Amino acid sequence: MTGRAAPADPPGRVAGVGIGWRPEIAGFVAGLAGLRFCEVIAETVGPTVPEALAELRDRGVAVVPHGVALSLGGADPVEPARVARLARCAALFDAPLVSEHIAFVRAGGVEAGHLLPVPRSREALAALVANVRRTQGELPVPLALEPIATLFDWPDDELTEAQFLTELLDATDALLLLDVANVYANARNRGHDPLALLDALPLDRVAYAHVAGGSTHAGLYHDTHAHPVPVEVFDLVRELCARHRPPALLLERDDRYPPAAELRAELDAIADASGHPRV
Amino acid sequence: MADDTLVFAFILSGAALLALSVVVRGRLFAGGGGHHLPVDPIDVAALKGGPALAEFAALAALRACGALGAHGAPGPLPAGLPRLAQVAHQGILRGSNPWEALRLPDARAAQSQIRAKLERQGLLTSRGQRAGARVLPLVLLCAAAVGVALATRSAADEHTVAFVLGSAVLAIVGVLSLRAPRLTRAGRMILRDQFRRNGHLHPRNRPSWATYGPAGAALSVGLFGTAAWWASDPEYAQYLGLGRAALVSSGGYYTSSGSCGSSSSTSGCSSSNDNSSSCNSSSCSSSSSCSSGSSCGSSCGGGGGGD
Repeated sequence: MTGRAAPADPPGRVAGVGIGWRPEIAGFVAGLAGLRFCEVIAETVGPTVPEALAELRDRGVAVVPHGVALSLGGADPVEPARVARLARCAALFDAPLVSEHIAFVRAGGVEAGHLLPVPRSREALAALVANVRRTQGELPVPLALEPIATLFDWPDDELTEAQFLTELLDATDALLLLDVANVYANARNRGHDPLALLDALPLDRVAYAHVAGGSTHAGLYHDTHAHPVPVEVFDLVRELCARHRPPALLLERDDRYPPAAELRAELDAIADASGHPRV
Repeated sequence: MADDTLVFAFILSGAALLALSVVVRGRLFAGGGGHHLPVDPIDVAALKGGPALAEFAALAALRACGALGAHGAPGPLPAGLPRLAQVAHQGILRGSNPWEALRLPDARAAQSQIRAKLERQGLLTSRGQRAGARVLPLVLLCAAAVGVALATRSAADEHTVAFVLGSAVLAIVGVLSLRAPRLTRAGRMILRDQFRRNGHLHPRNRPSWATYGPAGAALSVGLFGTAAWWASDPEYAQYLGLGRAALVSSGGYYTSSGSCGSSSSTSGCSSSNDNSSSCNSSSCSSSSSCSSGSSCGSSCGGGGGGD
């Protein structure tokens, strides 16, 4: 389980198949002998590295802090204290990169408690670019941006999702964290073709990809992270990798954790679909 | 001069008795290299908290593998579970509640087997060992009494002081060593090792029993007490009527025996209706993921999206 530390990936890079580290399954994650990277929710990290994560880091597993509360897509400037916390988190783990969502979670002093979609307008893009640049200015490592899953589009969208993301990445030089499950959920709920989005995205900018499960309620697919990964998402992983294989893919599971064998099977399925080695 | 010799002899024999006591006690309670032995999770619970905690661990194993429903209904029993869990399940199948099932003759026999095994492995002290360990302390106390008697008839003050001081030392050591430990040194070592290796099962992590399986669930309860139950399976904890009283110290050690388990029925346990931690068993559409800082943005808040 401990073994020799794997060679470190270059800055901004993670490789292979990873899993979102959660305290509930920390023992399972620790038992993945071939694991080369994992993700930790940045907002859950205190001033010191949890022992379990320190052990992973010490055996060469890259730990990527994943922020959920910066509110990069908000109209207000990002809060310096939150950016500083993310930067501190990156330093704490000696992380190769950090990631955050293209979303807003607060406005006018009200916390939504949820990732909310940014209108794909020029004005919103400008605000987002400004916030990403402010954040990058304080971070010691590259930033990867993750588009979220949403059930609706704002009525005043001026850009397609691919245009919006491409312009955002071009303007900020940020990396892309592509959530394949979100691509699937958005396409399914909006009646779009997920492959068309993959074809239009700058896939060479993908730092890593998320894979997660979900479930259907009232005809809508919800990206719950609490259900098994559907076969359609694995198919989409194959399609993505056929176009441009991400250097790394990560399984996200946040609740209703299944037996270890099922988690391992999902990790193996991601590895098999992407061509990365099993962990 | 004769008194000088007597004082010298008293101190010498007292010191010899003390040394002998330390050596004998050390050998008696060393245990049998048990830290190298594989230990079943329910055995670990028995080692940590006695039969009561073993009962909780057995039920946790049944819960983790789906052999017990959230409201006590039995499900299919997978192969390979320890005997105590098996007989508890059989009793529940026959209509007993969990505590009744754990007090049926088969369950008592299973508990006796666990105890005998732990004693055989040199992890738990036997009744004979504990009785034997009380012989030398009694000898020390007798020697102390002799010292007191000598002090009363001693003519010189310095001799009286020597007898009193010597007697005090013998009496203190004698009284302290009357209490025989439940665990051998090997037993304590194996528990330390289990704590060290299973920090991921601490209740603060709300360990997923589904992921760790019956062995992990039993070990979580066995090492960290019923607080582990509230953290990982609050629904059934409430069904059992487990008290919310924290059984885990800040150092992560179980600080009390499973007091509920020693009761003959759930009504003997302190009950709590506070189910605020039940988010762990809820779906992601509850607030659990969001409030725990997870990146799952789906149903939380009703947006239906995700990250």
